[in-house]
Amino acid sequence: MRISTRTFLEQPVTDMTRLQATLGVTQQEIASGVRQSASEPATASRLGALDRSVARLAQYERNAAFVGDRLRSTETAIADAGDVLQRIHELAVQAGSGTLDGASRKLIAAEVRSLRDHLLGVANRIDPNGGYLFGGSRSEQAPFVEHWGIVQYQGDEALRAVEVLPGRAIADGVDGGAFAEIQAEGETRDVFAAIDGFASALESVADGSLSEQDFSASIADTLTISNAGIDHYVLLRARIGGRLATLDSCLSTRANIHADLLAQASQLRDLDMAEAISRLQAQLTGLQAAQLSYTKLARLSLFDYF
Amino acid sequence: MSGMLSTGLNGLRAFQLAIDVTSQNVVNANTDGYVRQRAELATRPAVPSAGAWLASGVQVARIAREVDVYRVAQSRDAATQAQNAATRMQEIGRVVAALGRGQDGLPGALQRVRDALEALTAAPATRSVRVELLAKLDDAATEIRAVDARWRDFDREWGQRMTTLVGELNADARAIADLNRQIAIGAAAAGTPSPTLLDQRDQLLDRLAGYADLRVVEDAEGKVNVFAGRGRALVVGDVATAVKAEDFAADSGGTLGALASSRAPLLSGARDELGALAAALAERLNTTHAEGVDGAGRSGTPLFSTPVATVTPRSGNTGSATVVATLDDTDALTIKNYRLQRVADAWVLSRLDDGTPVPMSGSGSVIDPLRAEGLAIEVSGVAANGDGFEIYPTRELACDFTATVTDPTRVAAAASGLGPGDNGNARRLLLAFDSVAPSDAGTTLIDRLDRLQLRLSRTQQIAARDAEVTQVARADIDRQRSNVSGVNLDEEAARLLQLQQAYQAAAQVVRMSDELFRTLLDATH
Repeated sequence: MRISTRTFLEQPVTDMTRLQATLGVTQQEIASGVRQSASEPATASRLGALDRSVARLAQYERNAAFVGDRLRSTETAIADAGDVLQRIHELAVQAGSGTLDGASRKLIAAEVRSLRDHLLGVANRIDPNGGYLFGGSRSEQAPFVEHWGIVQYQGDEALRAVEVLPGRAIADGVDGGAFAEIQAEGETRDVFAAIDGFASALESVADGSLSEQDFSASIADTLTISNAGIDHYVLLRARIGGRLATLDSCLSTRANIHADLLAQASQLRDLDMAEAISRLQAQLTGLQAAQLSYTKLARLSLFDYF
Repeated sequence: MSGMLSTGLNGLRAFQLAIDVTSQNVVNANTDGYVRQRAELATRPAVPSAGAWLASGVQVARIAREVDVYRVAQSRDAATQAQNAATRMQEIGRVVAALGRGQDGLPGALQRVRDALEALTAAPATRSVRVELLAKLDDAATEIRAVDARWRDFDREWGQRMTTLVGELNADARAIADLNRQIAIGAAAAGTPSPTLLDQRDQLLDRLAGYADLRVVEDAEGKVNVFAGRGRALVVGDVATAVKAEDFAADSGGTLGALASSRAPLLSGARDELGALAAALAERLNTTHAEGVDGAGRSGTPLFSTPVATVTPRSGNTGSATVVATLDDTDALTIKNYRLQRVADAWVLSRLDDGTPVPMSGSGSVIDPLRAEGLAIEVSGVAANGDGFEIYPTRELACDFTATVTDPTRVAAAASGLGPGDNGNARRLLLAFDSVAPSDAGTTLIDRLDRLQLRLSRTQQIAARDAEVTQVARADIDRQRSNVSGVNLDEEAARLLQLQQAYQAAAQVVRMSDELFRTLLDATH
C-alpha cells in the first residue's frame, strides 16, 4: 500500500497527541484523587443525589439537636415541678402532725406560697431558643398567666412534630395544658389552685378562721393531690425520657446512614491510587516508545543516499 | 538516423517534463491541498517505415492529477459529521454546565431551600430562621433567572456565530463561482484545466463541508454546482447565491446544523423545562403558603411571582382578538407549546412540534376559559378565521422568576388558627416541596431538576461519543484520500533516479546518432 509522506510523518504525531491526552486524564485523576468516571452523567447524577442526602442528614442532625435541647429543658422543668410537689407533700405531712402553733403554720404557708410562685416560673420557662416550653403554638407569650390570684392557661395543645430522620418525626414537647392538670381520684385538678388552697388553709387555720377539722380535710386533700402530682410529673418525665431515647436511637441510625452514604459516594468517586499509578506507568512507557520510534522513522529518506 | 535523433530528442524533452512534474511533487510534499501529479509517458504515433510501423519516440501524453473523487466526497461527508458532532458536544456541555453541579448552582440552591424549610419546622417562630428561609427562596429564584440568562446568552452567541459562518460560507461560494469561471476558460485555452486552480477549489469545498451538508455536482465544462444544508443552491456555474443564517436548521449538518440544533430544539426545550420547574415550585409553595398563617394570624401571601404563559399572535392576523393564557394546573402541564387557531368560527388547539390536535373545554370567556392540558385560555375581541396564536406555557417563566416575600414576619409557618410557635404549615411546605405532582409521586423538585440535568448530560455524552467516532472516521478517510493524492518522497526520489537514468540514456541515443552520422560523413569523405 502506498502511503503519502505527510501521513507517514503526521500519523504518529496524532497518535502521540492521543497518548498524551490519556496521560493527562490519568495525571489529573491522580492529582485530584477523583475517578474520571465520576463526571459521567449517570454517575455524576447519582453522586449529586448522595451528596444531597448527606446534606439532608446534616439538617436532620440540626433538627435533632434542636429537639434534644428543647426536650432536655422540658425534662428539667418537669423534674423541678416534681420537686415542688415533693416539697409540698413534705410540708403537708409536717403541717398535719398537729403539734404546730400558728406562727409555724404561717411560716409553712409562706414557703407554700413561694413554692407556688416557683412552680409558675417553671411552667413559664423558655427553651434555649427563646420559645415557651409549655405554650404549644403560642410560643411567644407566657402560657400561664396570673389574673386576680388565679393562674390561667393561655397556650394551646398544639405539639410541634420535627423530622429527625426521613419519615420519622418527634414531638418537641408535651401538651402544655396537661402540665398543670393533675388527675386525682377520678377528677382533674389544677395544681396551682390546689397549692393556693393549701396555703390559704394554713393561713386561715393560723388566724382561727378555719376549724381544725376542716384543716385536717384540707391536709388530706393536699396529700392526695401532691401524691398524684408526683406521679403525674414522673409520668410526664418518663414520656420525655422515651422521646429522648428515641432521639438517641435516631442519632445512631443517622450515623449508620451517613457512613453508608459516604461509602457509596467514595466507591463512585475515589480513585484506586495503586491502580492509577501503575496505569500511568504503562501509559508513560507507551508514549516513550512512540517518541523513540518516531525519531528513528522520521529520519528515513531515500534522498539521503543521493 | 534522423528518426533516431528525433526519438532521442523527444525522449530528452519528455523526461525533462516528467522530471519537472516530479520536482513539483517533491517541493509541494507539505503544501495543504496539493494533489500530486504524474507525467504519463506514451509512445508517439507510429509511422510506416521500410514496410513496417515504427514508433516515433516517447511523449508526455498527459499530466494526471491523482485524485479519487469518491474518497473526496466521503472525506467531505466525514468532515460535515465530525464538525457537527464536535460543535454539539462543546455547546451542549456549556448548557449543562450552566445549571451547576452538586452544591453549586441550581441544585444546591434548591437543596438549601429545602434545608431552610426543615429548619423552619424545628424553629417556626425564630426570626433568624425565617430570614434565612426568605434569603434561600430569593437565592433559588435568582439562580433560576441566572441559568435562564446564561442560556439566553448562549442562544444569542450561537445566532451571531451562525451569521458569521454564513458570511464566510457566502464568501467561499463566491470564490468557488469565480474559480469555476477561470477553470473553464483555462481548460478551453489549454485543453486541460489548471491543476492549481482545481486544488484551490477542492480546498474551498473541503472547508464548506465543515459548515453544513454539502452536495457537489460537476458539469460537463468542469464547473461544480454546490448545494448546502438542506439542498439550497449555493453555486450554480459561475453564479453564487447568497444564503442567510435562517436558511440553516437543526438538520443542516456541519457546524451550522449543530448550532441551529443547539438553539432549537435543545435550548428552547431546556428553557421550557426550567420554566415548568419554576412554575411547579411557585404553584406548590404559593398554594401551600396561602393555607397557613403568620405570627399575626394573616394568611400567607405568594412566595414567588405568579407564572403567566407567553402568547405570540401570528403576524397577519386580521381580527382584533387578544389571547391571555394562564397556568391553571401545573400538575397537568406537559412541556409542550401550542398553536391556537380560528378555524370555521371555532378555536382549535394543536401542538406546535407535531401538530397533534388537543381537545379543549370551555368557551374562551373570562368566566369559562378554554381549558386544555393545564392551561386556561381567555380570548377577548373578535378573531377572523385563519387567525392564530402561538402559546409557550413555560418558555419565558424562568427569566423573570422572583421571590416576592421580603418581610420575615409574613412567613406563614403555622397551620390556620394556631400561634406562631406551630410548625404545621412549615411541614406542609416541606411536603409540597418534596412532591412535584400527584402523578409523579416520590419525585421532588430537586429530582426533577436532576432529571433535566441528566437528560442534557446524556445528550452531551452521546454527542461526545459521536464526536469521537466521527473524528476517527474522518481521520481514516482523510488518510485514504491522502494516500491517493499525497506525495511520497521516497517514491518521488526513486522516480527522479529512474527519470535521470532515462534522460542519460536518451542523451546517449542522441550522441550515438551523431556518431553514426559522423561515421557516414567520414566514409563519404
